[in-house]
Amino acid sequence: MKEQILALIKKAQSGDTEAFHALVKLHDERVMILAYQLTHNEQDAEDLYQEAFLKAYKNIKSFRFESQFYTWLYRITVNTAYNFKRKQARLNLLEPDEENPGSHLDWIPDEPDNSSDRREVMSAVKEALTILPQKQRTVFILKHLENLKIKDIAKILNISEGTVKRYLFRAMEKLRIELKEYQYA
Amino acid sequence: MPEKFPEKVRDQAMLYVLEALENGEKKQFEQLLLQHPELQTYVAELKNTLNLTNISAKVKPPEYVLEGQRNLLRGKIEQLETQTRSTGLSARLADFWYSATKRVLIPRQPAWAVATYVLMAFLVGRLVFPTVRMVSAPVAETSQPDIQQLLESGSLTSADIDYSANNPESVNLNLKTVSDYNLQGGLDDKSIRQVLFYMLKNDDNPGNRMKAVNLISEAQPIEEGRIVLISSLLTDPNPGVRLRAAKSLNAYEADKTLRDACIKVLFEDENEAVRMAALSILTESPTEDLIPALEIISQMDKNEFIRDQASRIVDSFARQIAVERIEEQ
Repeated sequence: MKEQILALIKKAQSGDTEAFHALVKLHDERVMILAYQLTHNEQDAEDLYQEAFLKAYKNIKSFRFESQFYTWLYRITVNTAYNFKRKQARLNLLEPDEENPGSHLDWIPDEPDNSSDRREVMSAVKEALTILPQKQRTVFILKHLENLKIKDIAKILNISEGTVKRYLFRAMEKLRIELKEYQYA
Repeated sequence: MPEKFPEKVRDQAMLYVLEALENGEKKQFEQLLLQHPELQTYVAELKNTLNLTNISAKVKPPEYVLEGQRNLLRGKIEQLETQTRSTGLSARLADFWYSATKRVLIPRQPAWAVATYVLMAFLVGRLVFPTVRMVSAPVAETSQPDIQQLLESGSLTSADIDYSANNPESVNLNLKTVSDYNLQGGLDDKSIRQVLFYMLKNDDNPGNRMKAVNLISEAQPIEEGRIVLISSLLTDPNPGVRLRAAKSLNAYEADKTLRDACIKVLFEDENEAVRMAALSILTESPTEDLIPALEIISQMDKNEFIRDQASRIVDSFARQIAVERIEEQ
C-alpha cells in the first residue's frame, strides 16, 4: 500500500491528474472526518474538504517524502481550517443549528442506543469541544479522535512536542470539568 | 483533587489515559497509581471524559457524500487546468476591452425566450428519448443470439461487462436472457454497441451503466451514441454516469439538441461537476442563441467557477460579434 501511494504521488507530481484522484480516493474519508471534527458541521466539512484537496493538488510538487502523505494532507486541512475561520469568522460557531438541531447527526452511524440520553451526551460533548480554544481543540482531535502520535501532531501543527502535551493537558482538564455531570450517565 | 498532585504527575496521568506514555514511564506511573487512591480517581475521571468524547469520534461520511465530493473536486481541478491554460495577459486585456463593449452591442433577450428554450430542450429530451423498461419475455433460444431481437423484445434481463479484458478492440459481454450468452467483439461491432447503449439506458445497476458509458466513450463517435449519451446526461439518476456521459459528449459536435441539453443540465442538475462538464461542451462551440441562458447562469449559478466560465463564454462571444460588426462596417 505504501509503495502504491508513493508511486501515485510521483505520478501526480509529474502531472498525472488521475493519479492525484486515486490519492484522493485513498485518503478522503479520513480528511472528511477530520474536517467534520474540526468544524462540526457537514457543509463546512465539505467546503473544507474541497479547499484542502485543491490546495494539495496545487502544491503536490512541494511534497518531499519527508513525512507520511496523510500527515501532509492533515497539515493542509488544519491550516485551511484556520484560514477558513479567519475568512468566514463562523467556523468557531459550532453550536447546533437552532432551526435544524439534528443536522449534525447525519453522519453518525445508527447505533442500537441512539436514545435521547445519548443524544444529550453527544450534544454536551460537542458543546464542550466548542468552548476549547482552537489549538487545544485541534490537538485533542488529532490525538484522541484521529489517534495520531504526539510527534506527528507536532509536525502537523509545526509546534514542539512539549507544546502539544501542554495543549492536550489543558484541553483534557477543561473537558473533564465541563463533562463531569455526564461521566456516570 | 487534581490540584493536590504536582503538574508533572497530572501531565503523566493525561498521557497515560491517552496511551501516549513510553513503556518505562507507563510502568513507573502505574506504580505511583497503586499507591495513591486519589490519583486513581483522577485517572478514572479522565478515562470517563475520553469515553464520552468517543461518541463524537464515531463519524462516518456516507459513501455517496464522498463520491459527490470527488466528482465536484474533479470538476474543479479540470476547471483549474482549463483556466491555467487559457489565462494569458493578452487574453485578459482582450477580455477587458470586449466586456466593456459587450453591453452596448449585444441586445438582451427576454426571460420568456430563455424559458422557451429550456422547455423546448426538455420536450426534445422527453420525446426523442422515451424511457424503456426491461421486461422479460422469452425468445427462441439460438446458439447465436439475434441482438436486435433481444433488445426489441425487451427479453435481455441483464448484462455484465467483463471489464478486466475490455479494450476498444476486444469487448466481452455476458448477456442473460432465458439463456446465457457471451458476446465478444470490438467497439466497432454494431451488436456490442447496441448492447452497451441498451445497458446505459436500462440497467438498474449504476456500476454497469458506468462501465457501459466508459466503453461507449472509447468508441468512434456515431449518431446513435450521441443520442443515448444525451439521454443519459439528462435522465440518469447517478451523477457519476451523467458526468461521464457529458465528458463523452465532448467528442461530438455541439448541435442544437446537445446545446439545449447542456443548457437544461446547467439550469437543473444538482451536481456541480455535471454542470461544469455541460458548460465545457458549450465552451467548445458557443452560439448566439445560448447567450441569454448563459447570462442567467453567469449570475445565478451557485458555483463560482461555473459563473465565471459562463461569463467568459458570454464575453468571448461578445468579442466575436463586435469584431464581425466592425468588419461589416
